[in-house]
Amino acid sequence: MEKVVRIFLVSFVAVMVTACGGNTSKQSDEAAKEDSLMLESRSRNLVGMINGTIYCLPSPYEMMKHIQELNLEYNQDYPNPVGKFSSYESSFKRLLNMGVYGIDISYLSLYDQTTEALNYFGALKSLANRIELSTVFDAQTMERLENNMGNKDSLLVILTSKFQESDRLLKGENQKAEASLIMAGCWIESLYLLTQIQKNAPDKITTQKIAEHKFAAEVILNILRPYYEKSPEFKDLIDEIVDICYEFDGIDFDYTYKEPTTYPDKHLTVINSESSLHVYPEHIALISGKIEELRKNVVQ
Amino acid sequence: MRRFYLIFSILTICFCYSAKSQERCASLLSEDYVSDGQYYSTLINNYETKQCEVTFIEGNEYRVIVCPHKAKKVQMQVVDRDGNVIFDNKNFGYTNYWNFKIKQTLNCTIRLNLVGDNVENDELIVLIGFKK
Repeated sequence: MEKVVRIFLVSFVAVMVTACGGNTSKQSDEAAKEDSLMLESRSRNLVGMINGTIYCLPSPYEMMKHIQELNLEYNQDYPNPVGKFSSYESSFKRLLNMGVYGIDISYLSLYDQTTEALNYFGALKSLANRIELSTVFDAQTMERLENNMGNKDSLLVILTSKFQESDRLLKGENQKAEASLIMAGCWIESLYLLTQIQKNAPDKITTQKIAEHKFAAEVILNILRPYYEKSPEFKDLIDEIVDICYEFDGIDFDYTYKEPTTYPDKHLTVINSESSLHVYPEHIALISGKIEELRKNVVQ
Repeated sequence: MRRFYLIFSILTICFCYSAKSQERCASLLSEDYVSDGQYYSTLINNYETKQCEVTFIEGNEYRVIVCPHKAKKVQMQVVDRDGNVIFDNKNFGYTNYWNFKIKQTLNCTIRLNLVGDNVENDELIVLIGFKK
């Protein structure tokens, strides 16, 4: 019996040593080498990281905050119709439209279109199932969504947490290209939504918000660029985004550093630096036209 | 046999501590902050600097969290496009999170380094949230 316990403990300890990373100072050269090889191979699996740099995208949450402040009426023509999800045959289209539907759900939730939002979640779940992300939108998640139907904040929190989970799973499974497509879908739909709002209800702040997409456009391009040769679909998508980036290049960005103010007790730094984006109606018109075309290709 | 029990206990505590610190790190986003919907991770050696390019949009308050897996301390610096250091957690006991209130949009680089030589390499998780 004692022998069995001993074997169990030795195995358990071995697992624990691996899990804890072991004692570095006593690690043998061979083990250290193996560890480093393992890390090296995993480093190739990291997503959103190009030449050692991680690129972060702005969240849809902050864009929705702006739309809310505009006090506009809900427009049912903006979201991509939910029924279209079953027509997306390729993984490429399914991933892009997961991003599109994600933004649409945020928009629907903003206007308390909760029943419709739930239908979109259903479409998102179906798309996720078909690209092996079924664990993300499981029965428990759908139940949580139903229970939070009247609470738009909770819906957005659940949505972003599900997107974070999809992102993590795809990155972990060495599906960087796939994860980047969901991000691209989010970006395309966000910019499309803003330009449509601007077209129907021109506003100075919306113009600024569109101009701010200049930075996200560069990030998306950096994230997608490594997959240019992966397939003709990637090539076409990247070419269209490059074209939009050219238009964003016309928007100048001025920046002046100002001493920040830090409040250690609040774990807070207020960044006082000043900046401005110089944008003209011509830029917005060109960007709107091009994003409309790109979005049409994505959702059709 | 007693020695086995001792090793067993020490390593279990070590494992639990590591798992708990990861959990604690993620929980820093769960109260007033909403995740940006993405999961950033990077592998790092103790002699190198990893960078995270981020655009902070005006009018928002962000929380940046850095979670090491094995290392006890990670240096986190926020630097603007001209190289001005806006924040350095070295001045605040290498805290693993900080909040940033943005008056006007700016591009920043978050620079990350392992502190000390107790680990040769590690995996870092970077979480970014927005105040609701």
